[in-house]
Parts: sequence; C-alpha cells; structure tokens
Amino acid sequence: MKRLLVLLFLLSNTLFAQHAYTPDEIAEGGRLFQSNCTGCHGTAGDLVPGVALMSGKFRRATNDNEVAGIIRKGVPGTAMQAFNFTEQQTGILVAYLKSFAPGAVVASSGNLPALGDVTRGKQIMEAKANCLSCHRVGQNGSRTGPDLTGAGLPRPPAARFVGFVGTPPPPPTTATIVAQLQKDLLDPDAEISPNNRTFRAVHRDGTVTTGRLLNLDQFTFQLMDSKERLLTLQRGDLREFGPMKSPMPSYRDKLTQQEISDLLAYLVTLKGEVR
Amino acid sequence: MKLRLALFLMLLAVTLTAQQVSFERVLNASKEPHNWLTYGGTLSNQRYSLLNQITADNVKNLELQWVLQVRSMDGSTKFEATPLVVDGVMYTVKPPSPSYEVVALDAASGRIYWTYSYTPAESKVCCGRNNKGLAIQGDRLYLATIDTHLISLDAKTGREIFNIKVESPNTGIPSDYSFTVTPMIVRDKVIVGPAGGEYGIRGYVAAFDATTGAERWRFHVIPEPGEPGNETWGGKDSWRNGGGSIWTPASYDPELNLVYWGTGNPGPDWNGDPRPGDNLYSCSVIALDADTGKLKWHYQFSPHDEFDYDSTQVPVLADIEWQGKPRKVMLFANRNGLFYVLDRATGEFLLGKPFVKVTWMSGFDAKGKPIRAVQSSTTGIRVYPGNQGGTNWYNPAFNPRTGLFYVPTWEETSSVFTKREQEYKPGVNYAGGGFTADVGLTSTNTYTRTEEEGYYGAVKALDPRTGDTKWIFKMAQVTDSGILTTTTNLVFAGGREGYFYALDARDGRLLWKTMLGGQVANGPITYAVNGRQYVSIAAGNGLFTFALRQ
Repeated sequence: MKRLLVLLFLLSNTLFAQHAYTPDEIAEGGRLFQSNCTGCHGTAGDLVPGVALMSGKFRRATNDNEVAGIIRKGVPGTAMQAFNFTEQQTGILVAYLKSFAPGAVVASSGNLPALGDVTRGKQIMEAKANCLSCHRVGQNGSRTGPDLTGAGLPRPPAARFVGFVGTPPPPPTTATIVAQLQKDLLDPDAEISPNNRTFRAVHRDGTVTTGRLLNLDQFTFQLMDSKERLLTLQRGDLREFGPMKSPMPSYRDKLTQQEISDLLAYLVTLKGEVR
Repeated sequence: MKLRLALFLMLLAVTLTAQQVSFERVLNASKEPHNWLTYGGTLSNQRYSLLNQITADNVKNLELQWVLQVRSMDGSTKFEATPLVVDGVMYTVKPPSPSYEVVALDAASGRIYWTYSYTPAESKVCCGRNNKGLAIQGDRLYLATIDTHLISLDAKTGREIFNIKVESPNTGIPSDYSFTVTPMIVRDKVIVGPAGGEYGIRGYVAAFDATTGAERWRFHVIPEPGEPGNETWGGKDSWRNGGGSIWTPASYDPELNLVYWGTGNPGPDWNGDPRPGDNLYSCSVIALDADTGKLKWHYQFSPHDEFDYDSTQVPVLADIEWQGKPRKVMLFANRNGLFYVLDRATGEFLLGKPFVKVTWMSGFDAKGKPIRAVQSSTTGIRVYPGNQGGTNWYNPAFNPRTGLFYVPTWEETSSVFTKREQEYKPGVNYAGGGFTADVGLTSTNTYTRTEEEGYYGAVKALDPRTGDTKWIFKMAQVTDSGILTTTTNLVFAGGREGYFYALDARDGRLLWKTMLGGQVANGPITYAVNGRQYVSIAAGNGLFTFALRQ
C-alpha cells in the first residue's frame, strides 16, 4: 500500500511537471503573479536580494514541483508566506514565471514577421551591418554596446513596479521577441534600457568623453568608454554631461528588407545566457 | 620637454597595460606596485609593497576615503576577501550570504561599475560562508564557490563566461565539499581545492583550463591504495574520508614551476584511532608541478594530527641569506604554534621553532619530524596552542628591507581536547570529539578576558634566520587579521576589537590607529591611482579605504 502511494505520488509529480498550459492559462498566471507576488518581488521578480523569479533558477528548488511547494507552504523564518492556491493556480503561476526564463519554450502565437536565412543573417551581422564593432556575441565583438549573446531570449519585464495594480507584462512569444528585435534594428532610439544609454561628457578643457553609463552619484559618473575602459568622472571637472542619441544607426535604409529578415532570423537563434 | 616625453611614455605604457593582465604581468607584479594583482600582491605572497607615499612620518595623516558595505552576512560569515586592483579598477567579492556579489569599482572613489551575483546551492560549511577573494588573468576574473563551482567572468562587464560544477570524490554527499579559496592561476590553468575537513571529504587540488574550464589535472591530497603515502593510513578505508582540505591561497615559484599549498586536518579531526599512521598529506605543505600536478616534495608539519592543526596557512616565499649563503626558502608560521623555514626547491627542513606556547611536541628528530609529547584522550587533555592555533588562515607578511617576518598570533591559548568514537556518515559532521574554546570562534560585541588570564592577540616580528621574536605588538583580543608591510617600514594590521593599526616595522611602535567598529578578518592591501596611495582593509560588513589627507 505504501509503495502504491509512493507510485501515485511520483506519477502525480510527473504529470504535474509535464503539464503544458495554454497561452491563456499562462497569462492568467501572470495576473495571479501581479496580484499576489509583486508587492515584495516587484514586476520583474528580482527585488528580493538573491531571488530572481524570472531567471528560471531557484536557490531552494530544483524543479517546478518544489517551486510550487514553496508558493503553497512558504519559507519559514523568512517573509515568504504560504499562499492558499489550488494546484492549477500554482501550476500556471510557475508557468508564467518560467516563460521569461532562458531556455523557455515560448509560444509562437501572434503575427510573426517573415524570417529569412540564418546563415546569411550571420554573415550580414559580421560584415555588412558590422554589429560586432559595438556588440558582443559570446566571446567575440565589442563590449561597448548591449551584449547580444542572448538576443533571442525572452526579455524580463523592463519595469520594476512594486504593488498589486496595473497589468502584468504578457508572457513573451516568438512574435514579441522578433518584433522587439526588429524595433531595435529600425528605430534604435525608441526603447533603450537605462543600463544601455550612451552619455557624453565635456570636460572643462573642452575634451569630450563618451561611453555607456554604468553608474552615477551626486559627485561622480561611471562609464565604459569607446576603448572599453572603466572610467570615473568627477562632476566638478565637467562642463556638460548628459545622455546622447544612441550611437546605433537605424538599419531601415542600410539593409534591404530581405537582409533585415535574414538578420532577424539569426538574432532570434542567439540564446546564450548572459548573466 | 624630457618631462613631457616621459609623461607621454608613462601614459602610453598605462594605456597599453590597461588592456590585459597577462601572466607575465602577474609574475612581475612587484614592478607595478600601484596595482594589487594577486591575493598576496605577488605570487610569493610576501604582501610587501614598494609604494612609498605613506611613511612612518606621515601615516598619522591617513583619512577615510570611502567604504563599500556588504548587504548582509550571517553570524559566522566574515568578509575575508582580499581585493584586486588593476589600473584604477578594484575587484572584490562579498561572501555568499546568501549570494556572492562580485563588484568592479573605481578604486579612488569606491563607486561601482558593475555587479555580478551568484546564489550557490546549499552547502555545508563548518565556519561561515566565507571566500578569500578573486583571481584575474587576461580580461577574466575567476571565483570558486561554496557549491564547488568555478566561475569565470568578463572583467570589463561582469558577464559570466563559464560556470562549471567541479565534481568531487564520492565519499560523501556533494554539499560536504565547498570552495572558499582564492584560485591560483599559473599560465593557462586555474587551480583550486575544496574545504570540508569536518565532513569526511577526501581533499584534492585540481587544475582547470582558464579558457574553457575543462579539467587538466588533479592531485589527491589523500592518496588511494597504490599511490605513495596511502600506507600512512591504517584502519579500514580510513583514507576515503581522510580530509586534507584546501582553503587558503597557494604560492608559486616560477623558476621551479612549483605551486605550494598548505593542507588541512585529517578526518576525523580529534580522534586519530580510526586512522593509525602519519596520515599523509594532511597538515602538510605540498609542492606540485604546475603543469602536471605531480608531487615534487612535501613536508608534514603535524603527523597524525588530533588537534585540528590545519596547515592551511599562506606559504611565504623569500630569498634570504641562510647560514651565510643565499637560499630560496619558504617561511611558514603554522597553526600548530611553530615557525618553519624550508628549502622550497627540495622541501628540506631548515628550522622549526615555537613562536607561541607549545606543548603538543617536545622537539624534532634528525629528519625534522616533530616528536609528539601528548596524545588525545577520551577524558580530555589540555594542549597548547588551542584548537584555533597559534595563528591560522590570516596572512603573514615578509619585509625584505627589515628582513623580518610578521605573524598574527594568538598568545597563551589552549584547549582541552576530548576524543570519541564516531562512524562516518555522509552529510554529518565527522569530527570524532571536541574541544574547549576559551574565546569564541568569531567576534562578539564584548570581551572581558585580560592579558593575565591568557588568550590575547598580537602581531609578532620574527627573524627568519633564527625564529627569534624581535618585537611584539599586543592586542587585548585575539586577531583574525592579515598583515601588510611596505618599503617605508610600515606594518598594517587589525584585530577583532575593530581597530586598524599602522606600526613601525622596525620596532612595532604604534604609529596610527582607527576604530572601524567590526572584526577585521582579511589582509590589508595598498595601491595607487593617479599618483595617490591608498590602503584598504575589510572590517565587519565594510571595506574601508584610506589615503593621506590632501
């Protein structure tokens, strides 16, 4: 009898772990996340030190069942309380979190732009478009621009909103990932993460330093300059300092429609995890 | 004109060298004293600096410049990491409590360029979730973690390049093994070893390809049947859980191509009955060929140890005059209370002399093996030094200018050791007894033991040619602080009380002190940015950096 119970338990775990949820169910998981979790974890799930809910990695759990167990039982001795969710609710909540993780199998629903040839796209990236003069893929290219090693991965929600109002960010799909990359290529200034902004500093003697802004405080700025040097500038030494237009050109007129499709086809294959 | 040309060439040199930290640069680290490229400043681990702006005359004008705060630490975890400084950028790592945070920051202002975070899997650690610091080569940093991962990071961005799980012998459960050590880099290899001597591990030193993380060689600190040294493990399969952990940084001699590691206690700690014999290579220093991992020589400081006298101190390499002739030696102040001088080419025993009160041995035989004076018992026996030793993992320093070797010491300390039978069980503390600790193993807010009652800390200056004490600087509390010395005759050190001191390296005179409000549990460093010299020390939850008042 005990063996039968163990077998049933294992079977139920297996079924639970392999449950595939529909996009609508996962979106409902997002609403549960929004109304129960973001008060402490924030909308990007990374506000509690040492916990990154959308990274797909958990310190106290190695699989979905264990994550579900933490949600339902809480973590004694910490601020993580127990939530009275059904198995279905816990499952879709976990599925929502996992939809942002590297390696997530994202749904391909939505209006997917036409994708071209991956091999040609790689050649365009390295030659005609010269992307590696600013960007890095794996161990190749420059560090001055955003790292593209994981360009094809779901992006975690940009907003770090804390609270229980608003609409949860939708689970990413292949279509949303491609659309985001297309937007980056055609209109690079439209949406730049605060971590990727280029700043321009004019020193008192008129010399100019530009670079990606890494950090700032009341008295100093920290940059990576175009030679990949880590620099600290004193505000008092500067005549001007502020953001500038993205140094990345729009590829709307630099590449043909076909070349853009090829490039997108290649970019969406880049799924190396960037930590 | 000449000045301008010189300035231009200097700037050019700085720009050119700012790109990569080659192994050649690390080998010649003493030629760029504005940087701090390894745990001990150089691969000889002398922790001696040629910077000369801060002197015995002006050290009283040191002033706090900035502080880096660790977000949180649990009770037994200490901020032990020695930072690295490369061309104005400092790299350090906060202990995993719960997550590691590797930071790159402006060494002049303390402002952060990037942060990398890693949350390790659960791991058993005897004495805090500690980490001794990072290593750098090329444009990569290396971190060894308590869940036995070896991680390589891009030093410019903090991006992870590889993160591999290092497999350990199947003597227990994986979490019995942990890395707390600073990796040692020799050319294309990153070398690490595990802590876990209280959990029945079988220690090893392993080298990994610095580019890919692939394992290149492995040396078993506890030899298996068929390997030399296994005959020193009597009893049934005692070698399988023989300990011999690695948890302090190594030293390297480029001419001999030897890497030197101190090894930890045998398991179980306090009961030697299940492991009759000397228990090689526990409580030893081992000299390994850096290319192959083959053992060139060893010296065992505490054969068949029953008092937890890990030999996990930092070996200091020095070229000194020995009995009228220049000699390449290793200076080793051991937890067992004795100071040793060894020939580092051959391992020949040259000198062994107590630097604190010692009762566990009565002298040496003709070959330099200690003569054991006391045995562990089931009813308890008092032994000097105590379980925490006459010194421990905190680094000593050697000043070629004064010719003195500076050691953080615990004076007049003893423990009553009691052994008991214990069967090895994976995941369970495998210590075989216990000991009395007259002071806590970590700092507390109050301390009421006076010097007359024993248990106090000190910085001791030893003459390496004789082992004689030249001077002593006493502290009311014991100390877990490493030591820095400079060409301007300074010694910097701290203690559990939270003071950070500058002493005259020639006579131990107190020149300056400041209260940092937390236990000092790492070694000070010094570096320069834009011609200004800085001194950094961690205490409590903070890393404090000083420079002369401007």
